[in-house]
Amino acid sequence: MTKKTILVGLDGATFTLLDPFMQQGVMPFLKSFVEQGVRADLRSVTPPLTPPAWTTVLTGRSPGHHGIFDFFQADGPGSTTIRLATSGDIQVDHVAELVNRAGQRASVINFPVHFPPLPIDGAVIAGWMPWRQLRLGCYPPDLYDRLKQLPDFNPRELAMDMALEARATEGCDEDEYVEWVGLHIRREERWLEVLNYLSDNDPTDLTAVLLDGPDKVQHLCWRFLDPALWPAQPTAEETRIREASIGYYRRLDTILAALVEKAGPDATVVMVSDHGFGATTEVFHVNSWLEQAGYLAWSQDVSDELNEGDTLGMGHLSRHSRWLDWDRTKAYVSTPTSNGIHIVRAEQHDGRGVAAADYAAFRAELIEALLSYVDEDGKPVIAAVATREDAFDGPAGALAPDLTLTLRDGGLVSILPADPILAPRPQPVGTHRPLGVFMAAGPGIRQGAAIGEMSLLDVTPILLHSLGIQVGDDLEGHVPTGLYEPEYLANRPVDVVTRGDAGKVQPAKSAGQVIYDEEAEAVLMARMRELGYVE
Amino acid sequence: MNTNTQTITRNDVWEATISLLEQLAEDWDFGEEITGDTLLFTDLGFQSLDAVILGNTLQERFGRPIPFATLLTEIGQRSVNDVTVDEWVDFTTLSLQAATSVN
Ligand SMILES: [Zn+2]
Repeated sequence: MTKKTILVGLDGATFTLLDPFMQQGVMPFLKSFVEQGVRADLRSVTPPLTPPAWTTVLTGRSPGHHGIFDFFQADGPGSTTIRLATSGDIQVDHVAELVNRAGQRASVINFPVHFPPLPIDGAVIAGWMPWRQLRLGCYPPDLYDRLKQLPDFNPRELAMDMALEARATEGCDEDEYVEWVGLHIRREERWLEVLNYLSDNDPTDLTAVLLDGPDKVQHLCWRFLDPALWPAQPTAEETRIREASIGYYRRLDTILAALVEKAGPDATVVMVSDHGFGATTEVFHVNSWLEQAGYLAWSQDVSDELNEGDTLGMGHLSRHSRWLDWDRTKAYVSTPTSNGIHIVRAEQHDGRGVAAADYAAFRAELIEALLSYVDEDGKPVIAAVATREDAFDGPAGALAPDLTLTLRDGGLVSILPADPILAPRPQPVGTHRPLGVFMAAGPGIRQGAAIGEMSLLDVTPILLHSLGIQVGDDLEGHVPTGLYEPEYLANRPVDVVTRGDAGKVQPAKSAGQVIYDEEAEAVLMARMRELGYVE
Repeated sequence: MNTNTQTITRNDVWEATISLLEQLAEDWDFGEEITGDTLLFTDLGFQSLDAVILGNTLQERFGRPIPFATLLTEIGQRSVNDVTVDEWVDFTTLSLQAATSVN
């Protein structure tokens, strides 16, 4: 039996903020939604980062199986060059594909790692797209032209305008905070317009949409939002920024109300975040720590490049590959977004790095050194170190970092050279935390119940069960029994099916995922040299 | 479009690239004609992510990998950080033909 099901992703939403907002009347709709449904803490993946976490939500598989670990992806096992992760890197079935296979339709709107869009029966609009290329992130191919006809359609607001986004990482003055919040209010309004259009003109059994404003607003405005950080005597300016920031949640509440009303009383609505949020108060310069500990050496180019300033971001992605002296580097961090340390393996780097026979001992020594690193007061800085087997067990884990750090303040590392290695931030800023939110309401779902901690892995099974589709036994999560009224679940039990071969890792789905082999690259480089492209 | 057994010509790549850029330019209200001399970054206002998306889309169209990261890194080291449509098409054509020649 088909039952319309809506998944609303709220990137970075946390009960640390939502609970006071529900109590204080900022989010009256959400308050009534939770009173009529079930809530739970929702545990994220390691690391609690947007791309791997949403991929887990939409596949029901952990990163070691689905293959997404960061915004970026190594070109191959042991490769020191990285590129943006694409949908072709996802190694398992997407929930939309499972839904299609059961004869139902799905729309998947604004999630990361969805470019190029999967050709599903329904609609896809990829998230994290530059606004100029949003057309290329839409499926079916005529979707963008249909959306263009909407009265308030504005791709600059729907998708990414790098000129506006760049501000998220820098401190800004009052006007810029207010403008930043306003941009995200307008963005959610544009997405509501798109969803209303699809619901009226091309309704699907499953609709999944990501609203990423909570994450974006919280990264920048956390100290104005977190009750624990709010000063007893705020300045007038601080109060104005707080009011503007809270304005985002007031508007979000009415947008959620509109989405749920549009879905109708018979629909099941599930709201989840990919991770929680908290404050980070310091910066750990991990590559400089590795240098000081004797594991890494910088190349000559670093200071030249840093002095030159930004070069439009070109070649920026793999800049660490130019910055490091590969004859003397055994471990390094290539992205500032996943706290992952890669160990240079001799068998992958012409004998440079750590020999296979020494790997286990080397890694154990490095973990020991990381955990022993202390600040001036003798307090450990690194709370935990996960090995690849701990964090990314599974056939797709070969591209994952060898070690993943959890810092004591929950923050992300810096990969730039710096002295001192550990520096306090001028102001606390928002960063991810492992516990996000789960809220659901609909037919058969218990009313006003808080249930025990759930996992991101449980979301796909819940969506499939709600749609009346069998749940494959390759999925790693399950439908919590406490979610439903016992009689309802008795009449509608979770139908777990053995998937056999279908549950195994699928072959590469996209050309982008194929590794460009070395011989082909050598031919190419020779021809490029002839044409004067390469010196 | 093309399969692995066919040779991809520069003209195939040129047509795919120009039609894609013209379609996108309409979304940006870019009024001028796009030619081989058009600079992606200076004239079309590209940022590196735009180039990555364009590259991936061409890769999908032709069903073969193209090492655009290499091109972007190389552009980043030029004295003028830009690339013309002609150079982009040359690079893409060479990549596709190199991928074919070792098949
Ligand atoms: Zn997130």
